[in-house]
Amino acid sequence: MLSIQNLVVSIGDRRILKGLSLEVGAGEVHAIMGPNGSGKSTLAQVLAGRPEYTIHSGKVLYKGQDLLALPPEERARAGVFLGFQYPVEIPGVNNVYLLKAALNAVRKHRGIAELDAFEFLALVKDKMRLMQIDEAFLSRAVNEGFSGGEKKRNEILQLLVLEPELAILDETDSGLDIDALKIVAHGVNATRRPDRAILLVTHYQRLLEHVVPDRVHVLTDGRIVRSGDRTLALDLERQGYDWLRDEGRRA
Amino acid sequence: MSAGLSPFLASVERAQTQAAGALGTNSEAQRVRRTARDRFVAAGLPSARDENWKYLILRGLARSEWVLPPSSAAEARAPEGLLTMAGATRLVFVDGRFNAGLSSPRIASPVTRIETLTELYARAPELLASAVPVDDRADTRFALLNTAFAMDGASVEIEGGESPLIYLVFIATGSTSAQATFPRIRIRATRGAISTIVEHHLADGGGSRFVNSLAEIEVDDASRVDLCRLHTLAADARQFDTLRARVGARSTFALHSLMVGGDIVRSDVDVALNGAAAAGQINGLMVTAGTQHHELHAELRHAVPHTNSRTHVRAVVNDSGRSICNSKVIVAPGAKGSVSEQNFRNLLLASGAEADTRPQLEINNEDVKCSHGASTGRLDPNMLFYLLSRGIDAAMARGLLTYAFVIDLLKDLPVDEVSRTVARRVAGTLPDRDLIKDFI
Repeated sequence: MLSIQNLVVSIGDRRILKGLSLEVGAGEVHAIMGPNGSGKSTLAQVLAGRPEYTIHSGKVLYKGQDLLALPPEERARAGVFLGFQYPVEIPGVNNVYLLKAALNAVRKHRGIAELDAFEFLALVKDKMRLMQIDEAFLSRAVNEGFSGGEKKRNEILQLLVLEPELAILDETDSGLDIDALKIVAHGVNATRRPDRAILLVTHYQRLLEHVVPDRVHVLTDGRIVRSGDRTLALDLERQGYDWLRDEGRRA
Repeated sequence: MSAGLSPFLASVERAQTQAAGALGTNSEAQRVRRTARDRFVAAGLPSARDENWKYLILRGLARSEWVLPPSSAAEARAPEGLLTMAGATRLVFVDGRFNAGLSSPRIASPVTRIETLTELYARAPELLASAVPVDDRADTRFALLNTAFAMDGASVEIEGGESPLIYLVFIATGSTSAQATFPRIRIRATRGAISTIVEHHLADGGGSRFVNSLAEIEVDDASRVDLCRLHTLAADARQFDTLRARVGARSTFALHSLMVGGDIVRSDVDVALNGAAAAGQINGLMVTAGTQHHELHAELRHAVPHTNSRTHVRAVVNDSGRSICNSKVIVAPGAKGSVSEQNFRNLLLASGAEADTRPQLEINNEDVKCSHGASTGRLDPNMLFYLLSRGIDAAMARGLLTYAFVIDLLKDLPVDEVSRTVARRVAGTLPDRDLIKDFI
């Protein structure tokens, strides 16, 4: 599904990813963990096509296709979804209309008919119940005046509606209380399918108690320094990241 | 014709012999016209040396000639772009003359008297004397020119209650080139009057046009007037506009100035808050693209205590467009307890686009609350990326964010049909407007 080979990325003068490689197969859930500043969010943003980053070398193949050659909107239509660490407020643009335009863009790309207003609303309301989002949400602007938890739940709602093939969730667990974390985890689990890959970018392992990953990778100083099964996350929780930092520098 | 006159002033000379109409052919009307004309000629056209005119490349205005429209009755067909508003009384003026065929029957209302200026001055000829603008500040020049050549216009008087919606339409046809029209509006609201008036300037057909409009407004004694001015002129039209409003005790005048068309549109707005607890509001929207040039010059004067003013202007500038907003709030020494807020935001969509904002505040006493803020920027890259990451087309994402930029202003408009029209015009200057329509 996703193959990242020796990716080197910088922003401004600062090199952030220093030769990152990663393979994610269909149906798998991978967790990327690492200390602050290790490059986790950069990886997520680069995969979604954020234009501010400079790609120096390396390759990213998504379903065999050169992902880095596509503009962000085409990546989204091809089935790549980024759940933002800090979802953006867009006053004046209605939530539901954005969701409808996004879904229709994806459906058009897949060659299936657009949903009519009635079908669309039924779908959204169904997913809103799952995410425990209030109906008042329908008339609000994108993320405007939402609490941190509401914004994250809105990201997962979009994930549920858009049904991407590769979901990258950037610190979706940060800033959530335990109840909201469970709702978000429930939403993520509901999207697990054999033909879908999920990349969870997270600082803590508490989300991984609810969304059990197939693989855990530790990202330090722009490289993946350790990969393992879910027990690696528990080791990190116990020992912190310091014992791995040196490996990152040596690697 | 005297030697050495610019073609523009020569046009004034020629038109003088041709003019006849609303202000009447009686001797008082002739005197009013002559006075206005003489004062205009003496003052001359503004030049770049005038402080308030320095931004405007007058684009050969002095060298341009114009003619009055022929006196034959203009064709009575409704042009594209006319708004449909249920329950509104519509008065239509084509090339400066009243057109009964395009106008609606006037809705009978015990509080509202709507008439043409021809009817007004026939009924009350003594009002003619006050038709000449009173002072000689630079910005009254175009008001004088209007007074010299206005053929007709609309008069609205509201007293003691709420008026039905009023829709005043001024159509400039392009049957001959360089045709000049002089739309004119007079509004009087008093004794608890409430009124919403839509003033719409539009063009029909091709040919360059010179539109010189004047609005004179008095709102007094616990009344409120909302004036929505919609400028949807064709891309070859130039409009020079003057608005003067006097606001009395416990009264509010709100101007919604919506410049979404025209090559050059310049509006000089002068609002005096003369009565206790008077309020003035200006909501301005300027949307330019191509080489369009829009200017809004506003002066709001707090003359007495406990007066309120609010100015919100949004400009969207694309291509090589230019948008200028010059806003001055003056608080008199005695106007204690006054509150004033000015807020300006410019959105630049292209590297050749330019917006100039000059908020000014002249406060002559210490017991006031005045604020102003101005910002100029491009589309927010975070918002743009968020939309792109959801599969939204790049052009459409930009269109949506542009629309979102003006939405708070559109929400303040008192007439839905006007908001919708403006929203469509904003989206219409951008690609994928059919898609964007779903969002508005």
